[in-house]
Amino acid sequence: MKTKRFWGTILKKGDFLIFFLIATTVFFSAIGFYRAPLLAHTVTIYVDSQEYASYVVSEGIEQTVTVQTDFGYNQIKLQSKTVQITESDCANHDCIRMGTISQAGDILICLPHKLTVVLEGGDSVDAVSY
Amino acid sequence: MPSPTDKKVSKLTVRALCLAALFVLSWLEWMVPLGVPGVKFGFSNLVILVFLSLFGFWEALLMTGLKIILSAFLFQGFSSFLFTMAGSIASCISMAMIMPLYRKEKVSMAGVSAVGGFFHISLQYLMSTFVLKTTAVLGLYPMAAAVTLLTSVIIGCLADLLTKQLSKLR
Repeated sequence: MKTKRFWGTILKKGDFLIFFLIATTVFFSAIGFYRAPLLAHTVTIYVDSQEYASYVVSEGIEQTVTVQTDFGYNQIKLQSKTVQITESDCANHDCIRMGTISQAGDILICLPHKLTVVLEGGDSVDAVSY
Repeated sequence: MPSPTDKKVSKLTVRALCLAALFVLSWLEWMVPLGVPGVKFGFSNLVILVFLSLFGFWEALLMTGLKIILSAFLFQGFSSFLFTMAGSIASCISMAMIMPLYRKEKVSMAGVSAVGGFFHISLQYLMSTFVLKTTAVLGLYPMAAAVTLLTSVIIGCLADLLTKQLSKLR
């Protein structure tokens, strides 16, 4: 076919080496980025769909946030890269059992207290879904 | 026998034409949607490539620099173009480094262009993570680099053809 001869005359051996090197870099960066957690930069706490508080994620800073609303009491602990609900006077303690969140887009929910803790990342949340 | 003045003028004209082409092309680049932020089709790379092969590194670097300055005026978004500019310079330098291989017939323009495009987009993303202080942007890098590879190969092949034609003229 005409196309094959066309490529054949232009591309040389060195080209393929270059392509290979670049492709490898892309491949490894893809693996690296899609396995590593997406860095979140803001922790936002919503109560009843309204923003209650917002905190910037920073390394080495630990904070304990107390959320006392009409709906109930929750204690949220913010550690350098993780967030978890440590105390709650809700019936199930599902929110505490949710454990820690660390990636952008992760959330913790306490349904009876209408509490949502969201980790918001720098880019659109669905950076991974192509 | 062309007089020295003739040579000077023709050189100036060539440079001016080239710059004009770069100017238009860099505008055109932004018009083409490619899906991934930061990835453009690299038409201006085509001109830089040809320039590199015909006039050498410093000339090409000069052209790149001028193109960057002009683009800054055109697009008025200086801070956002900081990354692209870094990318353009890196791309020019990296392509110039590969050029000796091209001279030795080991790579074609496609390879040179691929290298240039790769360095361009890589540095662009690197710069943006430093300036914006977020690593979230890097999530898009693999896709961007992959697309850049494809586009730069196409541009490179075109450049190859162009260079062959132009060298006949000289």
